[in-house]
Amino acid sequence: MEKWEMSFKLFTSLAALVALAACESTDETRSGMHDWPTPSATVEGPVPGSAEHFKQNGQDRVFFGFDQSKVSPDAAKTLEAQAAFAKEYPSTNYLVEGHCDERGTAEYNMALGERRANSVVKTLVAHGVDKSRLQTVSYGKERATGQHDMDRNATTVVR
Amino acid sequence: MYKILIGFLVICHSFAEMTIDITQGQMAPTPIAVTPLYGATTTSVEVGRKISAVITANLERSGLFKPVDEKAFVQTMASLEKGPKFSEWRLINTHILMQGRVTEDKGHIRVEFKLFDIATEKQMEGWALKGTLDEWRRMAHKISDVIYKRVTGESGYFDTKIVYVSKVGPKGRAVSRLVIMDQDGFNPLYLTSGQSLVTSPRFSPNLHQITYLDFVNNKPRVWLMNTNTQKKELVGNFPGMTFAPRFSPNGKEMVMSLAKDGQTSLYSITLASKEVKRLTREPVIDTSPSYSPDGTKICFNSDRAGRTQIYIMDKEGGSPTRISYGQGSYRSPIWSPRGDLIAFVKITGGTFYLGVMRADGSGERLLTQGWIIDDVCWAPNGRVLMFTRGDKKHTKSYTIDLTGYNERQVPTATDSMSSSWSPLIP
Repeated sequence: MEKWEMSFKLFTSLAALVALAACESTDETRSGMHDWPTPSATVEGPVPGSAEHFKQNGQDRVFFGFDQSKVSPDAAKTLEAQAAFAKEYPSTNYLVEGHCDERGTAEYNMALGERRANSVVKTLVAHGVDKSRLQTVSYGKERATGQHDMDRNATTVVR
Repeated sequence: MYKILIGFLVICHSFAEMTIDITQGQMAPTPIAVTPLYGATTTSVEVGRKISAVITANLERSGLFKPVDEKAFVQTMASLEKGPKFSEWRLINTHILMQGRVTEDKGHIRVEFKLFDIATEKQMEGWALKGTLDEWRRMAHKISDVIYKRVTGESGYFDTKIVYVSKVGPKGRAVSRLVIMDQDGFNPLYLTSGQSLVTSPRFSPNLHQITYLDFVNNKPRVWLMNTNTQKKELVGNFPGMTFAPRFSPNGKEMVMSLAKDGQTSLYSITLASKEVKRLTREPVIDTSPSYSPDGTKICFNSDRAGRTQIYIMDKEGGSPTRISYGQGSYRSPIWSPRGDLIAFVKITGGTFYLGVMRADGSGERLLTQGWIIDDVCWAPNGRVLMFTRGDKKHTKSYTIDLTGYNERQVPTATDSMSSSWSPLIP
């Protein structure tokens, strides 16, 4: 029994070795044919300090309660991360967009969206980000998708 | 006698101990026979029929008239030329009869029409209009206005334009464009390309100019546009975002909101001199300003007392006085062209209402309700209101009679919002 098991193990590892060798030879042929300096080009990630980098950290948006513009504890954490990013990349500038859900009047929501954007700016400035790097815009309810909890937000965009 | 009675509609909210009465309207639409205008040539017969059809549609849509079915007409056009047989029209319960003729000469037409009261067997109106053949639609609207005024005692609103925001595409990413059209939906013309987000267009009292909000370059600001030339011009040089613009009744000034540093205040600007005046200074949101028709006062909504309420102040900003005291939030007040009423949006218990109250805040009446009601405005005669009604998928513009009766969708090709009514075209 044991002897049989042993020879089976030997056989499988030999088979694996052969397979590996086959793979390697294929790779060699390919690289020889095309002479690529990097045989496996992949996207490493966004350029540090870019708009994509900022978004990738999941920190570009904070959410608000109904008819509210106060920064919640959750939002405060996100804004702290935004401020840290801004300090790490001092050449970046930002546009803070205030948004509202659709269940309000368009004109009042323009004002409310501006209030939300301004809350974010005030918080970022309190964390040491220079005010001259921050601009605000309100979209009111004009960009509301119908998902109310998500629509009530301020989105910071690297310009 | 036709009588349409809209009974009390009482909506009870499960979570709030209150009842809201949607106003009861009582209307007795006047039966009117708009006969096809008589013509001697093929072209004049054709244009005569088209004019009568537009008049019939206008009067029917107003809710104040009930056009008699053409199949029931008791006289031919040729026979009517010799005069109405009143007793026969009385038999089919017609109260008013319109009869007329078109003559055509080298691309010009002359339209004559007469209006008869069947009961008294008297002529009520008799007018002639002249114009080019392609102006037939405007002639039809002008005739509609004469009939409306003679029968209801109020001025008409048919020879008018509507400007609105067309929305195409999924919610949140829709392309918005300004469209101007006749009040009955014909002759639509795009005023903007759709490249930037636009909203809240409003007519100047001098008709060929609108003000609106354009987000060009991510900067929401108030613009002016000449609707004939489509030339645009930025209004003033403000440090923040400007929105919610309205013209003064003489068209020489505008009032609007400026939002900056978390505060939204009201400003006026004199268009000729560009002189800017700050009207409110509280650290709150003051928006949706609207002038009284005599131009001396401004109503607006403010959250200075917590929830948004309606206030009235002098046009220079003095002595703001709160006028709304009911439950919920009051927004977007707009003064009736007659001056007696202020229309508004009320939000309470998760429902939006369109309402009116007297300018002193008394006599609140709610006309209709919905998931979202917004952008309230008046027809130039102060009898009809227009507003945006939104559900979870679409937004459309509607008109409604001041009594709360006769709610109709405004005929627009796409989803629409922010509709605004022009003054009567002279």
